[in-house]
Amino acid sequence: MISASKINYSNLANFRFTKIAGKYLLTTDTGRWIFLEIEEFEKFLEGKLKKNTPIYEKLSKGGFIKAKKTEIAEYASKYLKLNASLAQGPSLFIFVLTLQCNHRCLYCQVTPEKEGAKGFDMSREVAKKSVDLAFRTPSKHVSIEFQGGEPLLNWPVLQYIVKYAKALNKTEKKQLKISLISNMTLLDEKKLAFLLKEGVSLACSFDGPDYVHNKNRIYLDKRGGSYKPFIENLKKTQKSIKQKREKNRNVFVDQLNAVLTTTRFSLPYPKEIVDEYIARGFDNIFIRPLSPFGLQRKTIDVIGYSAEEFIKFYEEALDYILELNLAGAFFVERNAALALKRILNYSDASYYEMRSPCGAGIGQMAFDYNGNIYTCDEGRMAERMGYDNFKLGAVFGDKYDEIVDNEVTRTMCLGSSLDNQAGCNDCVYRPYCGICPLANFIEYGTIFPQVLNTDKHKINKALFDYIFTKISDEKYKKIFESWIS
Amino acid sequence: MIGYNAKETKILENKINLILFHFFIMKAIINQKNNSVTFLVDTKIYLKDVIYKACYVFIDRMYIFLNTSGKGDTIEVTLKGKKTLTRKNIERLEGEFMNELLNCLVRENISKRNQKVLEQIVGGAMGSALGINDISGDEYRQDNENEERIGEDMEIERAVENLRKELEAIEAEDDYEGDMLGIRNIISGSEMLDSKKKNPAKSLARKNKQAKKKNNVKRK
Amino acid sequence: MSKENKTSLKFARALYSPESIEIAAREFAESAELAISKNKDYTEVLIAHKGDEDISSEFANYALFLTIQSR
Repeated sequence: MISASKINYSNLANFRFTKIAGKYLLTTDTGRWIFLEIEEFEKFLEGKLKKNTPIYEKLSKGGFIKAKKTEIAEYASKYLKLNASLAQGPSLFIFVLTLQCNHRCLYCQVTPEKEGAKGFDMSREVAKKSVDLAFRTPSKHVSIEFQGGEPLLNWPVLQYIVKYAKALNKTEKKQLKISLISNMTLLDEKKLAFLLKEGVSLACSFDGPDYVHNKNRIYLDKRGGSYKPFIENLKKTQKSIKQKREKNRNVFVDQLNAVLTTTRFSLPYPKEIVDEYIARGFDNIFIRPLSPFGLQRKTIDVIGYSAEEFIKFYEEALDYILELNLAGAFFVERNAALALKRILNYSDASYYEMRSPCGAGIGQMAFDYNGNIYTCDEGRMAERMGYDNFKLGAVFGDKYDEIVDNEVTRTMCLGSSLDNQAGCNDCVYRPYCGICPLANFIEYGTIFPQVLNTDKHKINKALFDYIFTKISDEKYKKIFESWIS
Repeated sequence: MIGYNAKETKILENKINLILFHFFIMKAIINQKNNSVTFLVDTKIYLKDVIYKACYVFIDRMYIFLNTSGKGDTIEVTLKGKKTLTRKNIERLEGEFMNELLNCLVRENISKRNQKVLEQIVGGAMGSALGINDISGDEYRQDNENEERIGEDMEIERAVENLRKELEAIEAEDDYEGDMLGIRNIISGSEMLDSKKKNPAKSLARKNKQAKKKNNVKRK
Repeated sequence: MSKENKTSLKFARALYSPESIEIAAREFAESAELAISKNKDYTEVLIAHKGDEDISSEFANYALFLTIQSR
């Protein structure tokens, strides 16, 4: 039992700690971590560790021992590396091309309009103004991401934005990336050819075998689930990407990525879902839980589950994925990989959900079809649900500075700063974690919820507990390192 | 009392009174007819601002009525369900409210303690988004798989060395104890917005750009 | 008024700002007749409901909401 009266604070730097698997895990604000046996931890606190021992050297190098003045700059530089994206400015720009969709996925976050509905498409004028604003960012990176509804339903404006952004970039010279998030069912060969020619990265939602995918992702016109046409177009896309890579070996061609949204229908099938991904040619999966936006508020009784149920599913999937990797396959769980970038590389994964403060307004923004600008994609989703608290401005009438520098942005920064949240501030995983004030507002009515009682906290903690439990075992650490190399 | 001296008796009596006070006086009063529960909150522990914050969280979910209690440093809180509640659920209202009260209290303390840090980080991040802090973070972005990282470690080492020199130069002005991480000089808040002083971060960015140019020339 | 239906609410000045109560009273003027009287410690509001609905809880909540917002 550690006696508080014996702690020698003069030697201790700022760190957080917890007990995992019988040892103490310590972390610092630069993302460095170390496991100590109980006795070592006690000696460390009491200032009784001998200098020039390996453990003392490790603690000193990790920043756990109070830095000399000459070491502070190095510490600061390490902190900057872990949080580099904070210093860049907005680089992700969501373009909501349309609210029309040909699907009614049970978990849809958007609250979409029917395919063919009028008045819900982004116009060229709005598109042009949005691209102009996006390029005002001080960041050297501009990532344009097409979302919807189903963005392919506004194909002419999609093409326009691609062309216009590239033309503008000839003078702006940013690192430009354009991606499309699509359900893939409307992707014909002509569109695919254009997208590949223009170097647009593709991503889709894929929920696993047909008996899961078809339950979640259903056509609007009651045709049932869209697994079959999705798979057909998936195969065509993957084949086309492969051909393009073979023809143009010096040109980077992004792979097609997929995201899994977990519903109650997914829970019994973690292995089967991973197997399906592998069978369909993917070498990675992004497993994500439900979010509190959009249609799923209405379908939650059918598709919902507890945080504990999701964690069980996620850990089973991760266990299976690690087994596959141990057997020689290479398959990545991307959510874990993003966390591992911070944990093993001590570097910023530029993932706004694992950042403090989050990206709302300062790392990303969303241009809605009608020209309104929101803090993030979730901000415009919240507006569709009746919450207009997250609007930053409009493309016509508001300048870039006014859009970024306003009360909403500031509030979101404060609401997503882990140093400002009870429970997060002292958490051992604070260097790696993030919080979504928007989701908290929708779910708990406040951007400062009782964090430890939120489902997101439980899920994030389970992920970090899992990683840190495995990471001491060299065979798993090697796999984790291969995921981020 | 037998066995106690006068002073000890007084102390014991006060303790008993406090316990009785908390048990009987502080004990929540449930009014099922009114669909409400009334209880006292100690304002020595929970300041008025914290009570208001907790009220704000619940104000759309229940009716809240505050009153001075006339009983020491306490405020009387009445919570009333918007729909008819069972007795058990009425009791739960107090527990939920007290939990939120504690959350608000802890957060209040954390916000005060971390105010400077928050100002630095939030101010810096917003400044960067406005292009005021000219820190080039591009060296650390790895979302482009084709980006070469060979020069990155060397650049970071050079950056650290330059930063160390610059910080040593202004060390005398800096509050060592109050700015342990040296964050103020990397991502600084309001000072950066109107500062015309030498900006170590800007110098770092300039030097990083120069180093990058040199590397590019070498590779060619 | 279809029915005589009155509620009296006392708002401690230490906890509810009188200005917020006045603003709330103006907002609720359509649903009830509100008479405000003030003394050193309290602002008293006499609510004569116009319909059958008792709006006193809503009124008290709104007064609290405005008080918090004004801080």
